[in-house]
Amino acid sequence: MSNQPHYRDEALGAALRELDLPEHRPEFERELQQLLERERRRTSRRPYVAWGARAAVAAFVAGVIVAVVMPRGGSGPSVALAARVKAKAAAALAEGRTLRGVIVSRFRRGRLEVSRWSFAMNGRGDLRSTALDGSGDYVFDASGGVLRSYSVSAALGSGPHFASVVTGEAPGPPDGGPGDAFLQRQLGAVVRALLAAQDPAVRETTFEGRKAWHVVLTTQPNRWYGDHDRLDVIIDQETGIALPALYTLRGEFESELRVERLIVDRPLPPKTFTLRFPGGKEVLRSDDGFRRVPLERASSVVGYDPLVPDSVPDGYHLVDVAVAREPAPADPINPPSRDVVSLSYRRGFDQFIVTTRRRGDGAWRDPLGPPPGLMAHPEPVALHGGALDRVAGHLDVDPRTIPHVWALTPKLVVTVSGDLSRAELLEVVQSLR
Amino acid sequence: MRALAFRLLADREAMDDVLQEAYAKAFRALPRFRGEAATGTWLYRIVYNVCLDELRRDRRVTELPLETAAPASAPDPGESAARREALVAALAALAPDQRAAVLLVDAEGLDYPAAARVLGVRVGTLASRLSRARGSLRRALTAEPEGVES
Repeated sequence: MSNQPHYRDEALGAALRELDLPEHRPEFERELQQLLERERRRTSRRPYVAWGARAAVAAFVAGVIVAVVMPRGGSGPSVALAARVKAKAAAALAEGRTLRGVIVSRFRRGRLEVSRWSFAMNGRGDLRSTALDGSGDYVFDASGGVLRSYSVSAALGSGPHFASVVTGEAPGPPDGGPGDAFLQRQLGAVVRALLAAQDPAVRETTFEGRKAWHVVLTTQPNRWYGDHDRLDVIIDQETGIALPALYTLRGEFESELRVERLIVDRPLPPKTFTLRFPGGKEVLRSDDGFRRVPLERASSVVGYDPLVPDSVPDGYHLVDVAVAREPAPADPINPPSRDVVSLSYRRGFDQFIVTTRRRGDGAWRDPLGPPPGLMAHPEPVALHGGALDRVAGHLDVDPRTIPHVWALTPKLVVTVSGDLSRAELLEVVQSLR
Repeated sequence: MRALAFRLLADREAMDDVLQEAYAKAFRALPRFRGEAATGTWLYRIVYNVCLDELRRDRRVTELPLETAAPASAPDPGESAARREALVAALAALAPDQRAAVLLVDAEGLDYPAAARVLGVRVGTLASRLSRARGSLRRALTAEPEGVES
């Protein structure tokens, strides 16, 4: 038995887990926060970069979409123009079929760094992302839940390329999957931030001699770190080509993003979502444990009735039901997940996901929260109606993370996350049955 | 993360220091992280590398004393406590790469490719390390405790 190629010794593992393990020293969290704050100051960068850089990219793509779909030449009052921007941005995501282009990111980490990668995506959720410096190429097949990649070590940022095929991917957060990896999830999140903005400033301007629109979004900086407090998107009126989007903090440059060669709703090349590895290359194969099943079969796999929303926003429909008894670890903060049901709803590029998993005995933190040492701005909410009636929920619609609400019942951990406004999140979570 | 760091370093203070350093490294590396591996796997690799640096710095690799391999624990029934001590001793006697392999796969539940990525080795190499590590630990678990008549 032990000679099987991917054998796991469960008895030995249980014995190892039972060994004594000390807690952190009392001042650990405070020290870590101070350390990261020093790091931020040293690099002039901010805490949510990994998670937030994608949001920033998405913010810019959202701006580009606004540019592409915005009527030309409109110069009405600011409020009316802002309303049109919002409506068009929402419609572009909800009705989008394909999107591709090149994203260029410039940011300060002591010195200015630049990264460039091409991307392509469709309304089914398939994705491709290719780093133009050759460091990585990623393809996700949404219907099959398969992620193929050919890339250098993410931790080292250099070295030999790994060829990897991961099957059984979750539809998305909080269980890993491509949504944890790329801009798709964040794309909608930032548009929601735009839609939620009370009065985004929009005005006519010129940029390098060209007529343009200038959209300004303001955000509350992260509690512990500087973060950005303002996003300026400048959009060329004549061509719809996006010009720099600037992230600033107290008037100082933080980062800049732009999308080049953007193409919307055109057929993608036939092999856009095909990734072949060099001959003879060892392929690391792994299985994250999720299986697509009909909804009516989910309970027989996980041993309980999953919570399903009675009400979803207009246009959304259920596209994926994925279940996993013991998925691969994706969340280093919380106890291992068991008996997970992940329901994926889509509307064009928009997506939201409802998950349930067994709570077990461990202490749970926000499954979609920031990494260790960083702080979010969750809003406590008392839920009313449905299966979560009178349960305490935690709502977070900060544009730097995926809008989400999560809650603990005596037996389950429940999350609703994705391209939903605050009101829509509450509508869905309170309709769970 | 905590378990991996503590089992490799056998010292709470060192564990905390290493985890803080690892999280700071992760912070710096975040812009390069594009999600080709699960976030957990990525963090494990960083934690493992920082632990190795710490071990090299302190030369703990060959000097791991049994009494620091685990904190004092509440008294257990004799045989269980003896088996636990034997397991701790056997774990401490393993080379760090073997120790990490068995911890990641058997205790933490990573699959082989993910664990191989954390350790920066091929899957075959990981399997070889696992085999040696499991052999040592199983012998410790099945050995007769000292002072117990058979």
